[in-house]
Amino acid sequence: MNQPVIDISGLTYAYPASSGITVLDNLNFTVKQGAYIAILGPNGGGKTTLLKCILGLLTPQAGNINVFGRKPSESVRYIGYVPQYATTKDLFPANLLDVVMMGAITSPLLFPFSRNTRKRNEEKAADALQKVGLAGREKEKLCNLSGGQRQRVIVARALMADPKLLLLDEPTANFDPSGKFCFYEFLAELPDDITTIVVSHDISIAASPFTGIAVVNKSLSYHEGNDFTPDFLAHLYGTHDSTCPMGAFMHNVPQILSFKPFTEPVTIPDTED
Amino acid sequence: MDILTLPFMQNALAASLLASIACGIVGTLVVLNRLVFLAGGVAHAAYGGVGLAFYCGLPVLPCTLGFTLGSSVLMSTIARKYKEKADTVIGVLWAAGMAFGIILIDLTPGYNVDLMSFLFGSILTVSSYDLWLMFGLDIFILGATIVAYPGLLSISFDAEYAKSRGLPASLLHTLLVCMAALSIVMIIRVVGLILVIALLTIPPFIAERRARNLAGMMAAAIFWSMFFCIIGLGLAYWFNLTSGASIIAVASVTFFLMVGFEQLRK
Repeated sequence: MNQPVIDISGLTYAYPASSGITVLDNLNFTVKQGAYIAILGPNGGGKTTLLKCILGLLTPQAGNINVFGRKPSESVRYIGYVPQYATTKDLFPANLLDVVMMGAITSPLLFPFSRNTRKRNEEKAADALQKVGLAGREKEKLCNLSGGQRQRVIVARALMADPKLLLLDEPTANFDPSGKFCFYEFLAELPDDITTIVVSHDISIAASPFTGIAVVNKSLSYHEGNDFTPDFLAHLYGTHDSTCPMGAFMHNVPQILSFKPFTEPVTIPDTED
Repeated sequence: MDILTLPFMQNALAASLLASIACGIVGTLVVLNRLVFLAGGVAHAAYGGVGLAFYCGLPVLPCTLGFTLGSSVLMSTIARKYKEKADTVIGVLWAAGMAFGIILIDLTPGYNVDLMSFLFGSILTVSSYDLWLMFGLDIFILGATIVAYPGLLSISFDAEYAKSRGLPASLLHTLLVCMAALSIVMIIRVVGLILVIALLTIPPFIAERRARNLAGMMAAAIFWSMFFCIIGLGLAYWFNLTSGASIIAVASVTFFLMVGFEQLRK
């Protein structure tokens, strides 16, 4: 039997600066190897906090987290992380290859790096850029890319670590609809031994073949499969009313989910007077 | 070219070039990590150490260094732990350190405060001892930056990601702030507080626009810093101006020309 990739029991977290208001309360969650899970929930529900606890960036007040059977801080080399709002330093002096190669830095010191290691890392970084659809653009600067393309670079950086667990926090925030679809298709096609967890608000995430959906709103409820019915989403975001904009949006979810990007160039017919 | 035959001008030139190396490297990291306000706080709080040394009759350099390193570690810890309150707390420590220093100097019998010398330094009276100290500082900063380059690069681009990869981001941040404090203390005596802040910010800002990588940005910042110092010192000599202020004027004019040129191109 496979050991769970993530095993969380009784997790409780409160931000010290927020007068002890509990963000996550006695949360239990197990993730099996190869799972492809969406974490959904309203703003302030604790999705990003949960992700940071799994990464070891936050230490919970109570409960246990095991990642690959170890403490999160001991499992960092198996984890690829795509943070929220990652690329805010537009003018940072680095080309795409440099940014992606940062994913291979495991020591703060220069000495473990040899010329051979650098060459290997360059080849690996070029390969990672190819995987995210940015082949041949290694020498371009980050500031010349669109928001969506930058996010792809950050995903390539996460892939440099050869992750067994990929954690993505709002990865498609800057993508156009077609870009989102392609991106989630790309995630779905990652090798089966990579466990992927995506935190998102984005309803179009439902088009991707998730193996499960975790709804986080202080507590966590897990649903097998990717059954994004309007009722489920309305329950998730707290509205059933089809007259309010959100409710009306929810009732259009089946149409949204049937969206597919154009595969052929679109020609607009000439209109004659 | 008789300017270069004067020993005090030779020393001033050497001091400004040595200061440029430290400020170019540290300033690049300060600008990329958005620590300019923190560096300003450390530079002003350093005056508390100067006052303490005079009042207690302690050696000025070690006392100022200890005080500044302590205040910089305190500011950096607060900045990391309470991000939303960081600017307020740094502002308080900035003002408190300076006021503390001035009061202690007021209370020191027989010592008159020369605030202008602290603000703009006295680069024309640099001694050989000062030059050797600055040379040692440059070697230390260059060495520490080369050895910790991957870590400094990683935290400068994305500190949270660096931490998620198991890099000691807090330790690297503290190293960076201590390097800034060390540079400030060593160089402030020579070129003054205002010039230290100008050299820590303006050359990296200009270098950032064209640099291809972090090391390239550091090299370009050093070049711009040296350029400002040479032109500024020349103008100070020929027009009988305060040298520190003259260097800053050259740097500031270049800065505004660059920004204006960029806006016109858009």
